[in-house]
Amino acid sequence: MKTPLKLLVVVAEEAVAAKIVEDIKRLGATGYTMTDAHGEGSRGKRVGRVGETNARIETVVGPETADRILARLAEQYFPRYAVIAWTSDVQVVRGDKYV
Amino acid sequence: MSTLEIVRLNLLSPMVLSFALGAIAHWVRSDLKFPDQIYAAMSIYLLFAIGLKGGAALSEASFATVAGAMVAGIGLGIAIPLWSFAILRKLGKFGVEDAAAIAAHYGSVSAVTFIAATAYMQSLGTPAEGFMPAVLAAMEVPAIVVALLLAKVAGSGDSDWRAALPEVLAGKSIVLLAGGLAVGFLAGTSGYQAVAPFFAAPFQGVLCLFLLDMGMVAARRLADFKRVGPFLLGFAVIMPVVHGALGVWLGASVGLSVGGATVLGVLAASASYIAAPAAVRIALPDASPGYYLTASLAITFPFNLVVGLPVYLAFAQYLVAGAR
Repeated sequence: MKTPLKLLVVVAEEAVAAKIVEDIKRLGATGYTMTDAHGEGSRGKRVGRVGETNARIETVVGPETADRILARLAEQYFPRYAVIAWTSDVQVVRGDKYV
Repeated sequence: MSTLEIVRLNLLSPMVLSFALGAIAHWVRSDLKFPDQIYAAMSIYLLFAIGLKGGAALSEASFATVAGAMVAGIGLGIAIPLWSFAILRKLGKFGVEDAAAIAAHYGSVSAVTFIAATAYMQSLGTPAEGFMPAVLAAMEVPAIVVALLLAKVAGSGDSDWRAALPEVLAGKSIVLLAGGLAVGFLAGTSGYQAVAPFFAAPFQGVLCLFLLDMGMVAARRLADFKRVGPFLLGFAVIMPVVHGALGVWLGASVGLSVGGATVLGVLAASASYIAAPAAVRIALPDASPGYYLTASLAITFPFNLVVGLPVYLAFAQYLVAGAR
């Protein structure tokens, strides 16, 4: 009954978060969840103020869609913006909802 | 009022003291922290409140005075990025994207600095013309467009200013300010009176809390101070004085009061950190926020708040009152 899929998590600076959501949907994700995020990394500390806001975008997708989205992020966002992303294996019910 | 008294009143105003408290809280590593939603709510409140108040005043202002101040403000917004860009490129040896990004910030305006200035002028009993928020709204965008065009002309291929423009115009500061002005204008003074208990009386208190938070943000940014370098440090302190003097002079020339000329000077001197960073991050992605944000937020903003305000006021008194 449970389907194996990929959970793709993107943590991105606010300036490009909306654009990344557009890309994610265009590349085949059927939905996403976005929350405000704080943290620190190679591009400095982000604590939720002017120029220092992060968003955490999560989406459950099939493995090919996950790869397409990661390729897009690597090409368009990683070099210039504070964006990180990772995938992990998840099990979901109602698998057809996500692909 | 003596210059010393003006300086003392500014340094000991609740606004400046709250800002200092925020900075101290950061330095002593206090656990003080405003929830993001409170911060967002306060900025919405402040921007919409000045929009409403300005709109109501606009409905009763004479067209000639408003037009003069608007032309002066927009002219400053167009001219400041031009020479700022040239200075940063030629003397500061900045790359095209960084120079354009910094020019956009210094040409555009800081709503919080403006709000602090109007509150200060109010407390001194020489309030600025009520319609000045309209000038603030008019000065936000032109400089950003000019700076992005400069980057384009100077050959920064990726600068996509057309993509950035809708985002700037639909950005929260423009929607709240310009929208608030329209609502206040249409509702008129009587309409404004009905909502004034919420938008006018608590205003300065909310401003203090907001500046407390700003003090923490600015102090945190100050950690990047060393990366800014001596040239940009000088730029972030000297250019506001030059622009401030120019703004005060233009304000006096178009017939503004001491308060109005001071506030126009403050607008010219201030550097944006809401509208410009959002636009620049998209349109000039290779420009370093470590330069433009640190300069505008951690250097120019506190400088204007603490030192600039009384200096521009003293100059306005000299020009406007001295001429009478």
